[in-house]
Amino acid sequence: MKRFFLAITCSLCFGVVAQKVRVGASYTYLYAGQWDKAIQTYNFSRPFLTKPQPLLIHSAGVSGTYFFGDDNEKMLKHGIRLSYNYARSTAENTNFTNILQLHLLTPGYVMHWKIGEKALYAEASVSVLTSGLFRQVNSEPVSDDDTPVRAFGIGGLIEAEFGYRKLFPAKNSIDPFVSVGYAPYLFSRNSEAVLNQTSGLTGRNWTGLLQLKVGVQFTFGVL
Amino acid sequence: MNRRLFLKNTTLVSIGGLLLPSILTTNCRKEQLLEDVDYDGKVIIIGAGVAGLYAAYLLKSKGVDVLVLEASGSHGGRMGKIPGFADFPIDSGAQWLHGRNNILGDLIQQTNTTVTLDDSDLFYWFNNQLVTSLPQDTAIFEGEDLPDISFKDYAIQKGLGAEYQYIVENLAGDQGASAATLSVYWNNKEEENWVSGDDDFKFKETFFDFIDTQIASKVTDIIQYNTPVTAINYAQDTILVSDLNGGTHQADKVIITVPITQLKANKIQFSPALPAEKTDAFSKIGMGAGMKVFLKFSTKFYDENIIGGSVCAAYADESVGKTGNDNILLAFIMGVQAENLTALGSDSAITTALLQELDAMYSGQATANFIASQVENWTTKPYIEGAYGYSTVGMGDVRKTAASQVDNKLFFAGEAMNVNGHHQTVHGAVETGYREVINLLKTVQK
Repeated sequence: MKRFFLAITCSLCFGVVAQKVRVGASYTYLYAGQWDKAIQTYNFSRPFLTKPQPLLIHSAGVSGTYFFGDDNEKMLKHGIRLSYNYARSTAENTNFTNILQLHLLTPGYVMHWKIGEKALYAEASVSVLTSGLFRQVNSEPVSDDDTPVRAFGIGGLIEAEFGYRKLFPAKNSIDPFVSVGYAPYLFSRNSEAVLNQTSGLTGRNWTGLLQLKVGVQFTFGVL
Repeated sequence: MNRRLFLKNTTLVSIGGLLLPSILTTNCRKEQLLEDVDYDGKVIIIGAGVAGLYAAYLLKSKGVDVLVLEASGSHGGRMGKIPGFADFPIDSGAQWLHGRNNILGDLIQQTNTTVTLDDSDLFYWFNNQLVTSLPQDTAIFEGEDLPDISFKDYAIQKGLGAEYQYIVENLAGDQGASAATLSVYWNNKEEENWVSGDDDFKFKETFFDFIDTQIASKVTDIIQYNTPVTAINYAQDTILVSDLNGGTHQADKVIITVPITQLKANKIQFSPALPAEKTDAFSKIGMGAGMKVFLKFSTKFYDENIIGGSVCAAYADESVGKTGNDNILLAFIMGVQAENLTALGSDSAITTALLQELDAMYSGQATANFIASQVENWTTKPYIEGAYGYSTVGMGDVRKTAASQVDNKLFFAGEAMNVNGHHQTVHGAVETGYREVINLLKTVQK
């Protein structure tokens, strides 16, 4: 049995080396209507706060992608990707700094097309979008009976990406890109409890989550 | 790809990426929720309890013309303060903040207000002795597959014998109800929505002082006291609100925040009559009797919390979380026990009944050390007539119907109208205050 696992591990490692690996960093603009409503309700209902809570709009992220196969001539390749994004909303008021933190983890499947003879490419991906939403007040996590108040969610993300490659050096490339993604997204009932300390006030427990992303990726090995 | 092409493509992609967020910001997010309130109509709020005060505060802060009509001579509703009875401030009404993950928790932080976690010890009066734990688990009223029967019947069904009667009465009393009328199913279902937190907090001063200073003080100039509303005619565009003094007030919108007892008893005549489903919903929301009796003693012979008395199911050391030397024991009496004590007819008779029970628990020390008492009977207070809203057997999901607006003109707030499981609480009342302001302004949003 040990030999079997060793063989599997070796072949996987060998396979990864033979495949194309890409890592990237990006800025993402987020739009989730229900979260907006919850935060806007929070701001509207609290005139005693001079600085409103910003919407969860801006996020930064990193990603890693593995492409299968080593045939550089193929126009279509496929692979798997794991992305992580972090968004934060901070309102600093007198004696009261309220911070919302959103973590998004997105494992998915990617298809990559070369566009003509040029260095442009397009990608389509489907992913599972998972999230964790947390709140801090004056640097302390908000807790209920010593349990942190937090909310989780899950959705299916469809994403289209466009970019181009600049060889750097000859066998690697730098790939600036833009992408757009949409996820119908279910969030746990206590999301509103994190965002505006109540429940059911802003309606349903799902939202459409729109992502617009711009970033750059570094590909080890020519696709 | 040459350098020029590389730079060109990089620039195009980057500009496109950077412009997208700003394009979306200006187009998709223009409709910030009621950010610019532009309403020149007149709003009347009926009732200067916490819900009414907060709604008034919010509307006034948005520049809306608003008037509050209060039936009594003071604001606060079921909140108040007893001056001079002890050497520390005492709340005559609501005194605990239930959890801090709510709007008042934020206000406490922002105003640097001191609150203390109330985690005082529990003692049970069980089989005529004080014990620190009970033989059987009484946490049977939460969970799945609960029946829509009363706490009392469910306790019997689950094998809690007669010796647990007043332990169960205390659990129901926490909800402002008698064990015989509080629904196991609906109470649990509504509690499932609770997101405020489980800890209870007391104010160093009083809860009333906090509300008075932070909210009421900002709207006292727009409160008209001693103006009990008797009728609302909303048949025309302009709503006519009549009061007991013979006055008539005109408004475009009315927010009604009176206790559910007043709506159930038709203390306000609506013309045209409210929809039958709405009045039916009012009738199904319970609001039982409630009373707080403060007993002052020369020594502190009692424990911090005593649960299970047959006269009063919950006694609490009032000095917990306070700075002072006086020994004050609070008798927190709800439901059928409050009805029984009210029936005695006088404050002295109520005090005597409580002292007799405490004497039995503490070998006569209550009467021997008794100095004075203060009875706050919320059941007999005009325009209140009860404690707080609870979930009755067979109630159904009626709170939303009770709280729904009528003809885009009448809006309903107050703790009993809270549909998020936060009914019975001060922060729950505040939530309904701002909820109805939002609902009202949505009807006039341009």
